[in-house]
Amino acid sequence: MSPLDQLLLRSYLDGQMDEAASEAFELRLMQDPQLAEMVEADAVLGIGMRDLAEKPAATVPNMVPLVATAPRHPTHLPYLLAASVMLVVGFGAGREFGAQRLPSPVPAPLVYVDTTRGATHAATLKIPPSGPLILAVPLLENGCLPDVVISSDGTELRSAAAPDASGYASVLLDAAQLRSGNASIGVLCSKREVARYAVDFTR
Amino acid sequence: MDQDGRHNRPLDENDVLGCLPGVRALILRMTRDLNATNDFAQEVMIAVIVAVREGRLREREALPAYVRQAARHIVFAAQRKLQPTAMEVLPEQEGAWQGAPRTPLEYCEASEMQRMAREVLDELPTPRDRALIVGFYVEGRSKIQLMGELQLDAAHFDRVIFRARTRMRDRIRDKMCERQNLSDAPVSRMGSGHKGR
Repeated sequence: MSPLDQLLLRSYLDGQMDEAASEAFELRLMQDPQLAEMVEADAVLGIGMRDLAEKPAATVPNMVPLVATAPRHPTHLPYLLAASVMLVVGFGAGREFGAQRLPSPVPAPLVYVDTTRGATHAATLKIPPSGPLILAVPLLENGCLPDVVISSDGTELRSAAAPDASGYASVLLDAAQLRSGNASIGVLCSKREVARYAVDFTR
Repeated sequence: MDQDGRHNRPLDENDVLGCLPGVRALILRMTRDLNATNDFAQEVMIAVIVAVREGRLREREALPAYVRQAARHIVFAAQRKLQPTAMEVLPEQEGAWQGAPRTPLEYCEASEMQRMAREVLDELPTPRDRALIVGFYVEGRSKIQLMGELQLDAAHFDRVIFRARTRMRDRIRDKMCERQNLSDAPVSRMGSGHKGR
């Protein structure tokens, strides 16, 4: 397809042609199967995306659920004891009942911190009142297994996050855990803070 | 005039059927409905073939405009709940129709569109590109709006959209080849059958 055809195709599909130009393009469409393919692909993409939005089939790989932790003076001994007990029980249960079943897939909106809008103000993140939510934040450092910490009004949510190839770290959480208003999201690599983002959660 | 002298011979049904990919694309763009598109495209082909047979359409140069107008008329008529004219002779039952060029839509079921759209979306490298596609195709936001919201320049916007469209086209092509291979296998042993484009 020539650059001119690409330009015409883009104008046509983006609705930027006037009526006469659209008619002329559609006459070419009748005689050019390659152009027809691209117009079809655009329509199929639109239909498929619309269906995805209506009937989302979100599967969220590599997501780790957030757990609320006490923000100050953590003492690890009770947790270590509890973990030891659970480990023993877990091994026994695992042997008894075989492989662990994964939960069924559920739809979950994706919200991400967009640093391209500039760092002069808190990024506004629109979140649902409750339900599963995927939060993605820029990682800014490759090769680490990050933790994400969300701080708001003296409370703190902390979780291991899943890094992806795009340089984002993602966590899956219940939107009800997040309070509306200003919050701060920190990204830690090996307990060292590598990034912090000011955000404003709105519903 | 082309090499095989196509322009010298009178207009025939094969010329009409050659417009089928364009007709389908146009109707799909107008209706955004796969089933309606297949039905309407067939009606258009029937109407134009009958016009050629009855001598109402003779000029080769007039064919694209005639086909386009027929497509628009049939879609608008359906939208106004008008019934199309019944045809006594149905060309789709004849040999010519069997030789019509196959188009990707004939090989693509509605449920597959969703899966292919998901794959195209997942292949985009950044969340911002994915947000662009969702904003453009699902939320119906304009190019100008999205460029402002996502802090993109026009070139980047065009690149992402073009990449998504091209990948969708490739997926549909793959699907077409896959189905053709399945359907051609037994037919070819019988010494007939259409190979598509």
